[in-house]
Amino acid sequence: MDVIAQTEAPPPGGPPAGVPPVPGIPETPPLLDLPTPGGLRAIVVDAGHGGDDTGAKGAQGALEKNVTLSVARKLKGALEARLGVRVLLTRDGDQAVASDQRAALANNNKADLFISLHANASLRPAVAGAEVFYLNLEGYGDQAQRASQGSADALPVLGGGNREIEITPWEMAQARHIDQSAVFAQAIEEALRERVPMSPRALQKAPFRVLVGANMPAVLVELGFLTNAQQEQQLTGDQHQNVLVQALVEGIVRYRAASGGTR
Amino acid sequence: MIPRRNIAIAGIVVFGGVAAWVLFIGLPRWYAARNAAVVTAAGTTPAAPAAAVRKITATLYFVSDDGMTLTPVQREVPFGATVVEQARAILEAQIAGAPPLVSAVPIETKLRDVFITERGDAFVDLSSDISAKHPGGSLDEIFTVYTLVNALTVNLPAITRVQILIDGKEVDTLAGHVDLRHPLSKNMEWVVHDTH
Repeated sequence: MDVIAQTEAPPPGGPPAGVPPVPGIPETPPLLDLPTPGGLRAIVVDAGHGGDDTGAKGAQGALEKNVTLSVARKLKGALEARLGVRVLLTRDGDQAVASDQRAALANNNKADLFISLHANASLRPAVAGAEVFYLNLEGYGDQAQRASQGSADALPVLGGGNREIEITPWEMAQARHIDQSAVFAQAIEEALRERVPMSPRALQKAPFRVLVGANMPAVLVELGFLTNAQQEQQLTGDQHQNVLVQALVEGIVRYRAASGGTR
Repeated sequence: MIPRRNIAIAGIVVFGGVAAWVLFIGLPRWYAARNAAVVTAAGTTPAAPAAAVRKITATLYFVSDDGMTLTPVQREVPFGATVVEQARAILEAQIAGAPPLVSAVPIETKLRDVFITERGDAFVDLSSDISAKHPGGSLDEIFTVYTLVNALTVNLPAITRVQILIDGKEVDTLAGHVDLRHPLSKNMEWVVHDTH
């Protein structure tokens, strides 16, 4: 089983032991690891789907993978400019990226936040509105419970003595961040609600694959419904995408404030 | 001499014909009618023997009119003598759909196999159509997954969790969202409470 091992003083410049490599994704060289005011250093923005996996498709032909990439690029620029944080995209082109690779990029780069962007679809064309999800751990059973509590093993090291190594199964990395993910999701939902139409079920939990391996507060944002003709037009336009980006940046700022600047 | 011989032959032919009718037509008809009467008296099957298929009432799930929830709908499905057979009958009825109700499970999906472990985990093996024909989007993917999970766990108490396989293999997701690498429990958060 892959694990994420966190020592009390991780070696600088390298990922922690046991973290799977990210094939196909160049690892960005570490920048000066100076925290910005409020504690956010790095954010990973995940453009959902890509490559052969087109995601949802609108009636006029808009593809989810293109919408998410466009918004992800805009969000990266806005976050870097406004917050001065390091922003990494899980993809910056039209390529397929496995779910584990998306989470691994965030884990390997010690990102403080993970935000996955998607566009929704419904069999009912009238359905519209943005939604924000965080991980639902029900169904993962005892494994999630154990992972959420964390466990540290004392391992003997060369030169004598022991070192506390905190072991988190890769599979369950998100479990210990669920409470903060809920706060993060709520901050994003509130910021979106002030600017764009929201779904009747705007804040929800679900067992989403891309979130479970993220070792930091993580949310998945459905920006709107591509199967709704009006929303398809909005989601493919710069104006609405910029409004969404403003809301996401504002949500991150609010989360940073709500978490006491510890992030 | 010759007329008496002909009469004897004719008698044998007539007797043989009557015996054959009784043996191959009369007796089977009488037996089937008697059997149907017994079953009907027990109140378990309709009277017509050829269409005698025992049914149970099961709760199936369809997308609500507003598209935001699953709606439970009562439907008759064939009776299964074992839990596995009943699970198969319920899943086949769910996949077949009930127009004009809208199903979150692509109708092209084929049920390949169902097996159930001793701890109550059902493994539902579906054709890849459930993924290839899926319209995408996390909401409909949630509906597709929990249509199948709830259809089994709500109707069959012996099944507590459901794992979906595609073409006999474990998969990450159907369309990029819901984690299918482990069995999922019943989830009524996505179900509206009024039953149709």
